[in-house]
Amino acid sequence: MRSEERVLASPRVKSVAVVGNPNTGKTTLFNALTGFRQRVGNYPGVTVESKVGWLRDAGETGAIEVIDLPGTYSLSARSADEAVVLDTLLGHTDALERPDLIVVVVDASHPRRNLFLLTQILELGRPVIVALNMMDVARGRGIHWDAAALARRLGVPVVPVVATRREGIEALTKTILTAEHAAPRVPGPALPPAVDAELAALEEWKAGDAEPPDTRPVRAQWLQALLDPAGYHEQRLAVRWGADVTQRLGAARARLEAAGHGVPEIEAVARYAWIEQLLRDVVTCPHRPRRSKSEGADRVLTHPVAGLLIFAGLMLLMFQSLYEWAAPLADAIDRAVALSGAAVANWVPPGTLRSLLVDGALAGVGAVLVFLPQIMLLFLFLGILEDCGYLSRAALLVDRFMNVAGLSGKSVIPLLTSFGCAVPGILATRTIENARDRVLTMLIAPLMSCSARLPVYVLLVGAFVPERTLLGGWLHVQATVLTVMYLIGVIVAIPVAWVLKRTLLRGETLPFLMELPAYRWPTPRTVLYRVYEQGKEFCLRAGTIVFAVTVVIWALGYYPRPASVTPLPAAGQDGAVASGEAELAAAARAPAAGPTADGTNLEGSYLGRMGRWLEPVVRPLGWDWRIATATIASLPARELVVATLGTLFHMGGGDGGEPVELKERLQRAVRADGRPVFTLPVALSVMVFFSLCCQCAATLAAIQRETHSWRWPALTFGYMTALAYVGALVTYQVASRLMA
Amino acid sequence: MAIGECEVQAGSRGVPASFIDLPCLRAGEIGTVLEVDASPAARKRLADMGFIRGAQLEMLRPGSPCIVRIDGACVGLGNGHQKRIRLRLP
Repeated sequence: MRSEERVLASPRVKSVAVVGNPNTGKTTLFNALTGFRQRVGNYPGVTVESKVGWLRDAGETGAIEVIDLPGTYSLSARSADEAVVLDTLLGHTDALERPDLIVVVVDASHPRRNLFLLTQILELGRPVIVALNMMDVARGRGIHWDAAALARRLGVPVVPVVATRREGIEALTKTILTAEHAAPRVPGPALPPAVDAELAALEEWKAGDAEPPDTRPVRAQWLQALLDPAGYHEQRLAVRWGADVTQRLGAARARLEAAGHGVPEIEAVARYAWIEQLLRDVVTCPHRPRRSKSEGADRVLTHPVAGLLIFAGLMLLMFQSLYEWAAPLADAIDRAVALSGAAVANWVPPGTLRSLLVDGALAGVGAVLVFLPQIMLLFLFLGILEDCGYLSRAALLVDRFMNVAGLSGKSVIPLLTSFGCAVPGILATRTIENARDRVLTMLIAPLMSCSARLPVYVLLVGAFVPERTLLGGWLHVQATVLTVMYLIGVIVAIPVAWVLKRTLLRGETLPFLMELPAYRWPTPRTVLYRVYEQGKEFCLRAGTIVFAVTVVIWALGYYPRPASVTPLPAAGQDGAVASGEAELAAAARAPAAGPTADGTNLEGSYLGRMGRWLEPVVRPLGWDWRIATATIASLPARELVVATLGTLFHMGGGDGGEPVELKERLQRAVRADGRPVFTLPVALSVMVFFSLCCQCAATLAAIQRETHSWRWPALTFGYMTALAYVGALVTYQVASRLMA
Repeated sequence: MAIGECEVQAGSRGVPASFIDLPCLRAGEIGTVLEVDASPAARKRLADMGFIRGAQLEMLRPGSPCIVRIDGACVGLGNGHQKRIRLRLP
């Protein structure tokens, strides 16, 4: 064990990168290697995250970092996700050191295509270990590997593993610890001499540059830049050296074409020919591939009619159970936040601090936490569907329909996620290859009715939509209105996408191209861990911003303080709301009264003033200044409108002083002239507004982060607010005429 | 509606060395890629996933997107890609 001694004496491997095609079980292998000891790393500049963990059984060699890179078919990058792979492997990112060792995960059941990426990586001249994963699936299909022969031919270690069952993980860990960390010895596939000559010329062209040699593009980069016109690598090099690069690459391509070498495919032809040679006597495949169970399932699940019906049924089931299971949990969180508020109120004397803690901080935490059950459940469902391989089928099924709006099937996963919350939906757009399609998906994702709209709908539907049935008991009016509110966003999203695609985001939609992995049972550990991670990410991402804006809105609603803070005796008489003018005058004299006498001063606050100032604007929507105030207060997060309405209408309390539900208070509230504040048309107008508006700081922040520009979030906010206003206007005007 | 744009009629299959566009391949049929006549960028994407001259494709589900088997893997291909792939039937 000569090599082992040497490793123990001087550990040279400090970091290992895990690379492979999508759907090769790369993440499962990563989890097995690290035993879930990992963190999410972030690349500056490119908003792509990679996970970094620590090797589980590193022994005495000290901590070894393991980097999980996004799945990719080739070193030529197609999406924001894939662009990171080559940068990391070459150490061209600031966030991570260049990995000392590359573990290439190969799906043993698809020998050729997986080895394509391997041949590209071998050319980087870095130490490589091949992990032959899914050996059990390969065996099941009658594919047999001679791993030792492959290792001999490649000149790098080859370790067969079954990551889902942790088979071979120990051997792989040992190989990582003891491998001879030298570059592969076997020359890879030979490219035609004409290509080699072009690459050498390009390398020489920039070899003299005074820049540090380790950032100089390597031959693999020049090759991908040459073969992928206007692709990621060419763009990167052009940013560095200007249009010269584009010109040179274009000329080189023209020369190769003239010499009879089809430019993009020349690489693939050479590599596949080499792979064919390499695999001779190493892999034996059955002559005719067996029809797998997975393909049998696909006959039904991807059937143009049956498949769509099953998809629709699954979605219906998912959303149904989402609301049924999440509601009690959300209620529990609500109660817990209310209890903590009461506890704080017990310990902290009335005043600014108590108000900040209860109405600012705790309300902010509550606003975030209340969505956690729904979002975690949604991620659980989507995680299971993804892990078993169904989501790529869903993308395939709806591709045709998405094309109508100028999108591709790949947008379906981000949009579905947005029904839970737009923030993870926007993060999920990273897999979309075309940058314009990606931005387009982000811009319409907030139109999907997220869980934050539900409390608004539930309150107003419960209070103002009659509890009746139509069509002989078949059509429940309340349920119908709720469903319509959900559909509005989807229906509006289609023309919005259509218009954006023909104006700001013009360009061809890339045709659908997606591997459909074989169906398999989801791995509970992987799914649950992902749910945990996404939940945590949501809390941090959405949480911090919602929390911050909530505190700002609290301040706007709290200040300016009137001269003397003297809690009035319960002024809960119906007359108190009789006149808005009188109220303003009262607020100027004394602070607002009510159950939280120390907390609220909304009427006279900056926020209340803004609401009054906005009143002429919202009058055509049928709203009074209090609804306007509540809408401003809900800028950080839509559901805050419920809490603000609660504060604004606390004065319409019950006669006997007993607490009255918000629903009833809204029903009783009247305007200056004695008309009720809310009628059915007003309630519908408010609901339509909230279904279309972008009152969500977290969503806007997420779009900014992903696009590196304030232009897109500003556009999103602008167009959605305009849509919401027009929608609410039309709703009110039409509904009030119909009712009259 | 489900079938992609197949421009070659089924009758023309009698011709000895029959060339056929991928959308015309029926479920269960196998063809060998002759050429991919798309933009360089699209050809690169397809080549990276194994769609090069000489690759064997089996049509599993025609339509748009269709599902084909290539090197044992199932891949979904939209109409934009499909109609650019010319095959030779065995």
